[in-house]
Amino acid sequence: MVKSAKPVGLVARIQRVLGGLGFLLNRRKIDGVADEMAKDLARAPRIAIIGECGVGKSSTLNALFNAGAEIDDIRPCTVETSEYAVVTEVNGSHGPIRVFDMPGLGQDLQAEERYLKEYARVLPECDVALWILDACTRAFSGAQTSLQGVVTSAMSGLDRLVIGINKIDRMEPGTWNVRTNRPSGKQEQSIAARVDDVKTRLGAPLAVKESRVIAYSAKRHFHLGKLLDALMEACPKDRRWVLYERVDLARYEDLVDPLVLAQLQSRTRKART
Amino acid sequence: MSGEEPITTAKAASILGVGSGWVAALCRNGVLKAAGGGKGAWRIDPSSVHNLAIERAKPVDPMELEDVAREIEEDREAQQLAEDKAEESFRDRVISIAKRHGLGVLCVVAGVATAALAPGNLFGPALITAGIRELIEGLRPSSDSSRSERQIRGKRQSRSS
Repeated sequence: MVKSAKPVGLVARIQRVLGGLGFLLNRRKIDGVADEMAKDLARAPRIAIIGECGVGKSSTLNALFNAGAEIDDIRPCTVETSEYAVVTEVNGSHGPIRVFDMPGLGQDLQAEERYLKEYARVLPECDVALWILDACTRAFSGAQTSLQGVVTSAMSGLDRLVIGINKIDRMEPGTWNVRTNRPSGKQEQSIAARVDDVKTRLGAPLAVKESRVIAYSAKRHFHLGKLLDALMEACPKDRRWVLYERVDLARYEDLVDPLVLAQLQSRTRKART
Repeated sequence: MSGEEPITTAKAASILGVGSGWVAALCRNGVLKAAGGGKGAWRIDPSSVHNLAIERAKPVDPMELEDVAREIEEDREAQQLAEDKAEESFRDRVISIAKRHGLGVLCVVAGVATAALAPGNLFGPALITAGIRELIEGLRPSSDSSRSERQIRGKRQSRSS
């Protein structure tokens, strides 16, 4: 059964939107609009997460939908099955999200054609797809070959794809600045080179916009705002607000040294006075 | 882990002079060598805490402060862009549903504007009339209208039987 109880504040929000545009509606009709909006909201956002084991799919979900804390409420989705994707419903702090955990490409060339068919089936049904790559591995030359030959001609739903390059904190030379929670200068160079590489080798064959290739670190809460914005951009317009309602982003500042934050605050106060 | 006896989150927090939340986050993210976890019950390698304490004792470079300020700013901007997209999506969805419900014509402001800009045009007054009618209907309690609908349905049923 579809849960359609109106969330608190939804009617007032609708009234604000319609009132701001000069619409004059009675309460009964606004309730009608609110009922439909509540049905939209009750339908959990569907997210395809593509990637090999260990690329940080869970930590990415935690960082986006559970403020960085581990999501422990994960249920297999009995109403949906898939041959290669594992479909689960995870309960983030702002409600459930349906996750299609899909195998990555570039490891097993024989399996790839089957996977690609599965992608072609699942991706158009999802609100958004996030392909996560490990920043420290370069194992997608095989994927690139197959993508150029098969994917672009056979697949739809690629307009919903975002490519995330996770774990940039572990990139060479491994000198992440713990106090500022930022990459060192040398790491920044490695990250930029890796992003360019992915844009050329994966983004271009898939016709993924450059703005949808995002380097981030889920565990360090780094560049999550950029990742979220890319996901919102890739999501169909009528589903963006539903996706955003579920978001509970982990904060970058939470992992910055409190000493540094205190100095920053005192500097800002001084500048004001 | 080194051979030393592991320490608790609270102990590490007191050594570093920070809150235990930050220490737990560092354990989760592998900055501090730790085992366990879950509800803050980390067993932390004291040498990694000690190394971090030495690192933190160094003066903060003003450039580092700039970097953090810029990062916070950019993160907020990106989040704001995402929020704007969500707001726009919400607004468009509300309007599209409202239009489907046949509510789009009830626009008093548009009626007044039309009447003011084109006094001879009958469309403006028509919009205003429709708006006023909607207002009056809105003032009536919705339970009344549903009661009258029920009465009409009841009468129809009794007639057909």
